[in-house]
Amino acid sequence: MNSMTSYVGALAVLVIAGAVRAEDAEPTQKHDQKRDAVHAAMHDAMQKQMAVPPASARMPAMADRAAGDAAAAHERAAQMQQQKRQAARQRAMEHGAQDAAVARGNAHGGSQGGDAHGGAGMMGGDASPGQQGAGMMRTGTMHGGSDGMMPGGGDKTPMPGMPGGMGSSGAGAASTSPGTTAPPAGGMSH
Amino acid sequence: MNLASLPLILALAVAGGPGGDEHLLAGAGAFRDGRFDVALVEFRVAEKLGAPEAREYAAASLVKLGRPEEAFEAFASSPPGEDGLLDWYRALACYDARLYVCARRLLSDLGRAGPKAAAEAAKLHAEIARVLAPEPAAASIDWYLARCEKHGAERRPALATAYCREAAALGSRRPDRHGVARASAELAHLDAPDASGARR
Repeated sequence: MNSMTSYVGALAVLVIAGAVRAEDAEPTQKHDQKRDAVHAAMHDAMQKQMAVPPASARMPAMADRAAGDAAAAHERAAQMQQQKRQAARQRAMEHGAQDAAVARGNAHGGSQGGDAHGGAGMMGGDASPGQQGAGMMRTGTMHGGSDGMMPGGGDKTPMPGMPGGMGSSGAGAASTSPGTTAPPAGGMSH
Repeated sequence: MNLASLPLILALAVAGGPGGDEHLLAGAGAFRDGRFDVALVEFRVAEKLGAPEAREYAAASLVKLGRPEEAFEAFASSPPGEDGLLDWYRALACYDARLYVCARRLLSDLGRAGPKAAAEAAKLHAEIARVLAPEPAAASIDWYLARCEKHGAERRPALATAYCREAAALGSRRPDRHGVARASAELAHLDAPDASGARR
């Protein structure tokens, strides 16, 4: 009974498979139509999605190198800027030290001579702003004069040997002074 | 399941049922709607069910999904020239993989893809001409050679071949022919057809 069932089953399979094969063997118009429909649908889809990629073409390694070059250039520019700032600061500090030395010398001379206004008298009539600053130092308004001499206007670092708090007050007329490095010849002698 | 039903299932599978077509249609619809990940799944199923064109459609989906190297490999199983539209996507796979010489070769053969494809191809051609105009840098050629060797070691011969061919083509444009000998030596070890259809 069991073998009979298997025999019938196998026969049925053969019949069905044969039918399927026969269906495949003959050119089935239906199948071709379906294939054509699939092909047309996909072509339509590919046409619709056809577009040039937004990313522009770039040779490999060149892009990386360009980015590296840009970064290096940026770094060089930053370094140059820093160097310029340091040079300006250095110049300002030298000028400030010189002015402080002038001021110290004047103050010293004034106290020795007992007439701090003597220097100012020598500067009378001189319209030079730098000399005005020096004159102010001699008359005792040293802070104002020094403030004007410090380029950048913000460097409050006390210079060696300079009075503390230099540049913190007395902006006024003295701060408009561009500063000076050439004290009047007569000023030093007092 | 009856023992007798097993041959029936096998017979239907051998006959290549209509499942492949259904999945191709579903994939085409998803592709049209821009759902490329869904399209890729449908085409992969159709491919497994025996649909012959499913592999190239899957490759087109991979291009749109930004996976150009996989797309290139999928395209490599069939030669170009059969379908202009598919060749456009084949060229895009090369372009996105930075295989510009390969893309240019495919685009120059793109004649039957319709006016829209021709217009898009002209744009891409101009972009490729711009990037290929200067003498190739040695660093660029070295990059292609490195890709060639990497893919060769990964047993991806189609990609390795494409990168080595690109390196050789670029190197031959330099007076010192940088990398040409190395690329030729690598190519000697590889024997895979290029997806662009070019052979050594």
